[in-house]
Amino acid sequence: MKWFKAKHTELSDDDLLLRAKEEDTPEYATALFTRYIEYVYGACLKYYKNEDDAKDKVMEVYHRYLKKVKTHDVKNPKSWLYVLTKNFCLEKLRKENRDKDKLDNVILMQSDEVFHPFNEEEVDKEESLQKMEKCIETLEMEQKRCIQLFYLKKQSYKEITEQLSLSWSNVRSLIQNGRRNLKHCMEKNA
Amino acid sequence: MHSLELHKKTLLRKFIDRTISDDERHELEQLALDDPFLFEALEGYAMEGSGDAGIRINDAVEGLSKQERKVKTRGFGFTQIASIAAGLLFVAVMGFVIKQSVEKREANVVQLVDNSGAAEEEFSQEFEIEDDELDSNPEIASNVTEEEPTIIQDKVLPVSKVKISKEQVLEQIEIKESSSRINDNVTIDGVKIQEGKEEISASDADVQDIPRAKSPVKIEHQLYQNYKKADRNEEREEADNVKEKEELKKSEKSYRTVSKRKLANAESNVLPTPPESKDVITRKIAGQILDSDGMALIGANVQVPGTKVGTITNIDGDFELLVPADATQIETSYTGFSTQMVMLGDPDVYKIQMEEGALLDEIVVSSAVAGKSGIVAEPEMGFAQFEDYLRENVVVDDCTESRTLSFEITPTGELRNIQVLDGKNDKCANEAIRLLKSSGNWRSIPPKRTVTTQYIFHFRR
Repeated sequence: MKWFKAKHTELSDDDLLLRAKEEDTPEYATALFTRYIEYVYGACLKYYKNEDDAKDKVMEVYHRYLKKVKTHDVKNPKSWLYVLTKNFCLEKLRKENRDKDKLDNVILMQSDEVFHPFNEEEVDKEESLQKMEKCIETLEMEQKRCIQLFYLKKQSYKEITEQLSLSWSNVRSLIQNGRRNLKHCMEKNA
Repeated sequence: MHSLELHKKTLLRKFIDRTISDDERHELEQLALDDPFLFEALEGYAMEGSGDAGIRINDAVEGLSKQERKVKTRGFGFTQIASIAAGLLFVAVMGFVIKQSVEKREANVVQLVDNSGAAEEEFSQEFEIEDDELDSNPEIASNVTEEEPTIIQDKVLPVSKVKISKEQVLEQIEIKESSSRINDNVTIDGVKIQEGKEEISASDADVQDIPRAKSPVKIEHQLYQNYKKADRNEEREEADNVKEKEELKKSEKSYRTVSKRKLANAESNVLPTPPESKDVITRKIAGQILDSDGMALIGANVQVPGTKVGTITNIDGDFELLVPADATQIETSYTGFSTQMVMLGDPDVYKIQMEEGALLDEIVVSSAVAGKSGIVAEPEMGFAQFEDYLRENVVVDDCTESRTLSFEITPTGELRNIQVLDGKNDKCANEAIRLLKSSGNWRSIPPKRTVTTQYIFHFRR
């Protein structure tokens, strides 16, 4: 598969956004959008469950993005684009009154906490692993299973969702919560 | 571009291409935990049949760059502004040209009108000559009057010209020519004739109304007579006019009485509704129709006999019906079940169990065979109901053959001249005749004709 060549890769998101706002041409805005087009397409695919629809929606999202990129005060371009894409799809879906059930199941809020329990530079590996095993045992059943499957068996989300018959967002929050609990547990015992 | 983002992008592309290793996939999914956008994208790509996502994304990027170019050209507006300006200029020039040509044409029209003025003069002279001829030959005049009223009408006009000014005549001719309504012209004539003589009793508006109540031919004739009298003897004119006025008054009166009558009729059309609305007072009944085992009958008919009030049961066998307050019974019917009458009492909810009918004697009917042009008639209830009717009402149970009846349908829908075609005039044929006769009227297709048709009654166990 030969992928398109991204433009202006030397610039950061913020620089691109700045130029997009300054310039009359949409060159930089398009470059920024294209940078995350795999995300946009994937998200549209998630909401629309249809490749043709997803592709159309990418173009529509692009149009809305172009309109808003100049006027909106954007702090984090990627997060902003994510919210824009998601809101667009949800709005359209609601309008089309389609897949109500699927919409209801979408968890709209998710924590964006960033931390890495496996940042092991400060911790002795051996020690931490033992601690970890103890801590994992303290987790709730579902969290434990997800953490085990994801981190220890390195299974994919798809495999986990199929194995535990849970939704993607469920698996994600279980892993996230399990990870947070693990972190608390390990900090306590430190 | 941030190195982490670049890394994610590389992994994501590999993921889309399905060239990702397990470790890389795990890394990507770990990254996705803290990147909801990436997480949702992964969820999207995990969908079945998202195989050529890469191609589609490349397509989309191509589309974007096309859009970008479009927007770009919109930015550099020089050529566009020039073309818009050219367009405006063109419109302005065209508008000017059109305006010019319209003005020219208007000038032409004025010229034409001038010419027509002259022509009109000659025209009226011609009429005067013709009028003389008509006068000297009353037979022709009356013939023409009756056969070609429009011509006579034209000829009335010169008379007015004699009495009134030439300009007015021309005006009248113009009005006449422009108007498509004969009556209106006559009205104008009538007014003109009366003008300049004694007082006019009826107002203009009334006079205008009167002739509409008459047939145009008559009025033309009358006017023609008026003209003859006026032309011959001006002294008798006044008497004529009095006469005419009387006539006008009469007709006015009759017109008024007619309109009064019409009003009365209109009122009487409105009036009878209250008694009807009494019938509309209804009660709502509901119920359920079940078979003998207590199973709901779906689509069973519920009807108030002798009316069009009816409904069918729903999927649970339930029905609801607004019946006239004076209805005493309802009839329930269902294919394969014997029709049942249910007396209506005080309660509004009924549970009706239907008995399965004797399916032994089934009458299946082919069709009304008639003429060369297919079906020429049908029962008023329609074939489907007619067949149901036959099935439900057949009484003999030992007929196994078919009987063909031929009969005539009158324009009013009655059946005449019923004959048994097979020649077997037995009790099965009699049963067929009885069924046919009791099934009500038929109608021809197209309606209101006398047609002869045939119907085959298949008696079958």
